[in-house]
Amino acid sequence: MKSNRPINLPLSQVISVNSSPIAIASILHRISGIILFLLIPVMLWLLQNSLASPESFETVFDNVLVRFLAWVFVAAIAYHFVMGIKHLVADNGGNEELKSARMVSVISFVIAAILIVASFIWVMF
Amino acid sequence: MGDVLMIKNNSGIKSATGLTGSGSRDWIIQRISAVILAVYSVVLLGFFLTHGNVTFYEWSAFMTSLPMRLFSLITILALAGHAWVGMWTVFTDYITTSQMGSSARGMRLVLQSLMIIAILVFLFWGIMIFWGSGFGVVAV
Repeated sequence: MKSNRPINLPLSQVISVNSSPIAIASILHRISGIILFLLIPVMLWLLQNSLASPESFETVFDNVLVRFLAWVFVAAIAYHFVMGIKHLVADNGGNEELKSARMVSVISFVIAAILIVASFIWVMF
Repeated sequence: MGDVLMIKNNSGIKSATGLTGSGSRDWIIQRISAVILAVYSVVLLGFFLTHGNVTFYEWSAFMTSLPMRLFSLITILALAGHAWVGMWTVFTDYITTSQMGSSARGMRLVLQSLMIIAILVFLFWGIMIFWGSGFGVVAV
């Protein structure tokens, strides 16, 4: 099959033509994945300290920066989780049409936003 | 075939930096590991929601129980596979010669190598936390 679709567009052009909620949901899924990857060592360090002794368990969360990074991790998981489920549903043929995909993207944004705000209150306070 | 616009790998050489060297196998591993990671997240969330002001003893008793040690081991393996496939996809999509010229090839190889080394470090570190002899405090 001969395809005349343009390939190898510069990233800036890709972004400018992809401003729909579907595209934004997708690129943020990737960005949240990269953030999670980069924060793995912080969370392993946190996990190790939280299990090492009662003293280190108490002190590891005293640092505001550590709590903030933990929240970033939890928020990124919340987003990646919600969009991941959307992805798994789409793998099985669900919400793949333009209209339904748009709608489910917006709904996923709302759910993710609620989880991110709730996790901020939970982790930071 | 023969269409210059269709950039397709017909060389028969499989990607050396992908997780399994098979696209469909990477794809299915990405999905299976995603489900494992999702269930683990929900289990941890459930623990925190049912233990309002969690103490060290409740937390360590839960995490060092045999079921959680096994589940954590499986989840760390899933995380390693999931991160590998995910980061490989990101690198091969954005660090390309059409995006950044001929330097992309070398840069992608370096980034992918660092990514693989980092994942191996995370993997063994994670296993040590749950299956090492005792939990040493990390010096800060």
